[in-house]
Amino acid sequence: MNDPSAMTPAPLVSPPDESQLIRRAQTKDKEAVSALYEAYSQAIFQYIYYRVETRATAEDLTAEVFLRMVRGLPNYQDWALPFGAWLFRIAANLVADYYRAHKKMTFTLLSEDQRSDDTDPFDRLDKQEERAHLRRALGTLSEEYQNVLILRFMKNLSHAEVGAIMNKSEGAIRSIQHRALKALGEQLGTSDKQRSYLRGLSSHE
Amino acid sequence: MSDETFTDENFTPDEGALIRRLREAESPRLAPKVYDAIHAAVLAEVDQMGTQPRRTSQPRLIRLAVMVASAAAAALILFVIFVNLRGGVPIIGATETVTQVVQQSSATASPSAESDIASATPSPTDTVSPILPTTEITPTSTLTVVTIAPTVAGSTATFTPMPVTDTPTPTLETVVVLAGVIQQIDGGTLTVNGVLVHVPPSYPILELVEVGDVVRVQGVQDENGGIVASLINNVTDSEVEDATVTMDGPLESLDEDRDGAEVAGVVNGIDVLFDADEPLLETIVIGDFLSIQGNFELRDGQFVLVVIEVTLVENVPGGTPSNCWYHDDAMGMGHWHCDGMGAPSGMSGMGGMGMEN
Repeated sequence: MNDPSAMTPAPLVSPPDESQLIRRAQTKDKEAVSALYEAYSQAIFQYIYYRVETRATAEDLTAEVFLRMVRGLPNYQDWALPFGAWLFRIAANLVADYYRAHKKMTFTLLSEDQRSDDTDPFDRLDKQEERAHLRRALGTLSEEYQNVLILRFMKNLSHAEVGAIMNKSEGAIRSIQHRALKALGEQLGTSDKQRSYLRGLSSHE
Repeated sequence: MSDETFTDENFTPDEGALIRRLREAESPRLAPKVYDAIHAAVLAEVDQMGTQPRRTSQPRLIRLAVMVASAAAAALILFVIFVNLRGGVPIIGATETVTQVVQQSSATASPSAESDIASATPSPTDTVSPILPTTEITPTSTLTVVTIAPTVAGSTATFTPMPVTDTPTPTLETVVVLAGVIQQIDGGTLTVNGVLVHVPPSYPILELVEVGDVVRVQGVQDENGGIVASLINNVTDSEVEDATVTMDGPLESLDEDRDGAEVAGVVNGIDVLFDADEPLLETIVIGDFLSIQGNFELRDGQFVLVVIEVTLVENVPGGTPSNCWYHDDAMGMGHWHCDGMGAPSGMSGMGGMGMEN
């Protein structure tokens, strides 16, 4: 049996004294608001990034998440939902709204992603391609499956935490997880064959 | 947030491989400029924030319900006591009556609040509330009001994400990605790693690439196995995030109007848009040799290169950097091209991305 726990991404860690930060943020303490933004901005962006088709869209939605965070702070109460889960829920709702407004996923001429520490352009392009490949495969799945896969395995949240975000029980999350992995496997299995076709062409030289 | 390992779950080998792939996927980060811009917007929003957080432990309607029920119970008990004193109704019966009335009061007071919460369209500005606490008033000889604290658990919350009726559907066209070295350019068709890549004739990247350049192509396959490109990325260094186009060349014109958010210009024959806050705009002059990274965008039906980063290339006597040359495409047009944009040293233009290890 494979043990995927061997490669655990960095867990989503709440800032120390988060409750105190929240209380200060609710009194318009900009330093506290900045600390919350700093703690969660990259995680929220990474979640949205794999849910939408362009980086620009992910950036716009990320910005909206944190604007709504500020607007919702006066009413937020930490006994109702953990703060991080609350932010992810805002993000999930925004992505759902986005897809309601944009019915079909398309790739456009707008900017593509560009990030790597490798100097070899082919290696860097390979990583970009893998990321784009995963994004496309995830994008074909239902919202429910996407949420579970990204939050569980990319953001390393527990079943309980994902359940809080999605308003489902732990058992339901486990069940969805199993079906989501199967669906993702089917997607990647199909598209991997096409990538192999293109790679094979280069060997003609 | 907790850090849960996966050792308590049993995964099949296929599932394990998928999970590994998800976990090893690169985690993109917000570019510093974008991070800062969002941060600034968030802080500006703080100034608009309402200052008084509602830190009540009970919603207002619940408190009202408790008060009304308490007052009704108290009044009823006083009435019963009064009647008893005047001679007749047993205490036990009075208690039962009180209980019934109190329960009815609770039922009357709360449903509107519950239905409001349950039917509210969830939005980030709404309070995420659990099921309303049930207020039980247990009549005793001393009339003790007992309020049950709300049960806090995400799974019992009435907050329901908006139902998604339209989930993204996969496109019927498969998007393919190809990276490699340009081996041939024939009008609007590039040959990259032996694959014909058809580029829309108006796409300005055609004016910037040469045989030997490394590019990444994204598009859809046509019936002949070629690719109809939707995006061509010729940026090969990692210094500037989010840029897909790199271009070097002389500044040929620059708009004098600096009032807007962007400043138009022409570099290397290509229309460009600089950020109005770009510091270099204060010092560059026509003829300066610039190195630009950015993205092509359609604005009013025309492609422009929106600049993300611009640097001034060393200016040598005569105005031409030593590693740049003018490429004449033999159609009366041409563009500057600088060393370092094309294939890495040692590459012969063959092979590339597809070579398996």
